[in-house]
Amino acid sequence: MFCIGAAAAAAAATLPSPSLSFLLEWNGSVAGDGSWLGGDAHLPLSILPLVNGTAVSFLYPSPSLSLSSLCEWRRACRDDSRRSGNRPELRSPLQRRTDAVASPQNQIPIPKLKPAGKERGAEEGDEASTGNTRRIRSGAIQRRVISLLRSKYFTVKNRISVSWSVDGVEVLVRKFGIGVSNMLRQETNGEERRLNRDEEDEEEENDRGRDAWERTYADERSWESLQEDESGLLRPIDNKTLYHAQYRRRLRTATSARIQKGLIRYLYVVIDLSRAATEIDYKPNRMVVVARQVEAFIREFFDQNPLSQIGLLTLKDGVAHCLTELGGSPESHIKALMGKLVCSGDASLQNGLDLVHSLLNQIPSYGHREVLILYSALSTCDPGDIMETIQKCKSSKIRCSVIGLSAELYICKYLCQETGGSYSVSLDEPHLKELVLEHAPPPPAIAEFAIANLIKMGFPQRAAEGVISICSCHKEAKVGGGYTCPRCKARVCELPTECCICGLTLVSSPHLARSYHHLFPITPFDDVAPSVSSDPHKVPKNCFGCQQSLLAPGNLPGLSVTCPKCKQHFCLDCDIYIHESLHNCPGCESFKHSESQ
Amino acid sequence: MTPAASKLYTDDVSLLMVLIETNPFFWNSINSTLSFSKFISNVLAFLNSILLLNRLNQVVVIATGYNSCDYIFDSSALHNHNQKAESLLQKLEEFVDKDESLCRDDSVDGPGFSLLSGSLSMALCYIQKVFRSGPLHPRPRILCLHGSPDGPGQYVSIMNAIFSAQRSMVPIDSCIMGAQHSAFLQQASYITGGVYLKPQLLDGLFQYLTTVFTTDLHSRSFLQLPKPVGVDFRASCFCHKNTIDMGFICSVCLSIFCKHHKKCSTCGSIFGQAQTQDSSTPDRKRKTSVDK
Repeated sequence: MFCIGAAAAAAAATLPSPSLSFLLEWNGSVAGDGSWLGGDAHLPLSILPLVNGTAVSFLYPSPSLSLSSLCEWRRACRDDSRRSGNRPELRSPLQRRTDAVASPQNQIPIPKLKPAGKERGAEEGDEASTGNTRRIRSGAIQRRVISLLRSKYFTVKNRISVSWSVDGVEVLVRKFGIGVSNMLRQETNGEERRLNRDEEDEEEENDRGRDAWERTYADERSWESLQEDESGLLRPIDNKTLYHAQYRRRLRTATSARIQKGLIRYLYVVIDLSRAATEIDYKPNRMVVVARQVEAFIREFFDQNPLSQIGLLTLKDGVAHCLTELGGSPESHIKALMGKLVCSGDASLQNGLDLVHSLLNQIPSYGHREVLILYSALSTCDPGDIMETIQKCKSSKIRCSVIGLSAELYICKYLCQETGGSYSVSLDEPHLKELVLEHAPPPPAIAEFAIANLIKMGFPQRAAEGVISICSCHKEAKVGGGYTCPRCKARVCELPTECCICGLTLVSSPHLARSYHHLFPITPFDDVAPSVSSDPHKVPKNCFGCQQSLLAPGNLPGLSVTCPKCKQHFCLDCDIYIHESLHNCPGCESFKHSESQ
Repeated sequence: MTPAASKLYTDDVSLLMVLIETNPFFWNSINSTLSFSKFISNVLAFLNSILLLNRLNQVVVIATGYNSCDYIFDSSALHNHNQKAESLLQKLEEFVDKDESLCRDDSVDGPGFSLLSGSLSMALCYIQKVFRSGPLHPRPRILCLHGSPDGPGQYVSIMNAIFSAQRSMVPIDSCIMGAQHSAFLQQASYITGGVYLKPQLLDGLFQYLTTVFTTDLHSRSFLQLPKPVGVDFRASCFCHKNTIDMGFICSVCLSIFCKHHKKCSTCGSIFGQAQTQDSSTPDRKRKTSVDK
């Protein structure tokens, strides 16, 4: 439960009461039941006017305040001010305060907040006069509050300022717009409002929207990269060991056994171009970010799966369009994708799946059929029963995976569970990149899906440099540098491709060799136990691969890993490089009579 | 780094990884006037000329032996400032002795196969370390001075190394001193954008090295370097080891066959029907079951 308009109401209470009504109007409609409908909040909020910075809720038995009682309270304040003749003192309808009236020269204080039920007596007067705010700011509490807000899908469009009391009993969250603060500032000229963090004052003085340092707080949440150690001091998080630990966990699950992989894949990438893709929670907007990641994914996909093919589909206006057909050339897909990026309408999951199903029925039986859906919307607008479509996809052995950009949807989860795919929701752009690139390496093959077949392929020779011929893909004369199909002798420009004339799949042996590391994976390296690493005789001083020193600064034992076969020691970075890119253990390759040779 | 250092790192600073072949069986069987000691003196003069071209150039030498591979020389190591040639020769001698002591084969026909995949992998790991060291680093390349014939058992590892080099944009140059062309290194140089050269007169090796392989990557765009001729990308079938134009590929393990078989000899898959759980495979592969 949050309160709204802390400073505004507090300031309003010291100001002529028309400013209170301004607050209500600007902040949108307030429902009679006290729930907050305006602005960007998705939570029911309660409006708790603050009396001189104090939450009235502590005085009320029930937490929410209805609009009618708010107006009544406002009227009461106005009557009070008329009666007393000086600047309106803050009185709550329930409890009259006889302490000092806040004068224009005083700062508006935030007195101590006491738990509900306690009386507030004279000590508040002291508070009011000294203006001593006595707030605790702790990164931990702040972080918890902000994470709480985020977790409840609270979209932070305006600034959220947090202030809390000495007792830490309740956190007051203020949502302030620029208009309101400016208006109030003008009306209370000279009056300092030290209700929240100092930055807010500076900001109001600057009269700017969002400065860079604010954006650091509001958007990038710079405090999340800090961690408290045992004495309470803040330090930045050590990323390297975390990253390495994460990588090791991933590797261990991935290569625990020699599982057969689907090497010849026919993958459709379905991109959601509905209204939800115009959201700006990914900068600049979701559509651009998704297009960027799909481009990187296409390049990585063809790098790892040269014999596979990709097609692109878009979901727009409730209809699915085929952007590009299944093809093996990355450039044509990327050009088509970057050509038209326009969002509108709704996303229809069923139409997308129907279209994919009809397109993937035409491919040969040895190919693995896959769909990767990048879904930004929170709903799907379907013409029929999507469960039937899902069953149809399941019976056609199509493996559907979904990457969500907004939140988890049951229907996507069900789809992925039924078809054996994976469902993940991304948190931010680097996470999205990681999730998308996880689909680039071949997935494990499902037993009944993979029908082994002998595929006839041709290995063309590269033509000599000076030969002039008409290439069959562009239909124009070209000089030298192409490949000749061994069956029909037509010239093609690049490999791998299908010959346009006779339909033979043309590849070169390096293309096949690119996939061999999936068939002959290397074993993950083992961590070196600290007891072993501290013994200088057992651990060599340098990494075997890159000759980097394995000792931490100060001649302490550093982290290293060792290959179980050749027993050579490697540093952590070499470990990651060897397993992700190189796929050769330098130790095993460098010794002729090691176990692997 | 101070701003002055960034001015020194111009486009033409290079890091050269030299992979020297020290396979004794190859050097015994070579029938030209180039002996191993003459070869080393040519290479030393070449390395000195590289280091003279630019103060920031770095050279790392890795020896490719018959039984093992190891780092021989690193010009950026601090203790090497004054006695470069002596330290290189000393470490090379130690390496050759150690390599010989590791030899377990009693007799070897012909030149035998040296461990090119091992030294390529080590060179690539070193290059990755250089990439990680920060935004200012020399542009790396690899030069293989190779002579032994291609070992078929190393095909997969060498191709892995080649693809990794291609992704990191590291060209692999090769200078072949043996009698026959090396298909692996031809493919390596073609795929990574390096230079492949088989000198005709090995006596003049120093001249070939300095005219072809000395220039840094930036300047190569202005030079006419030897072009690749006739890179043969045809595959060889697994059953007869013949090079074939058209063949059949197993969709499961991508093995190449020249004619239609009923069963794949590599992975044991029976063609034309779905796999059952208890088909025994020599590679002990297994597929995941459908209900996860």
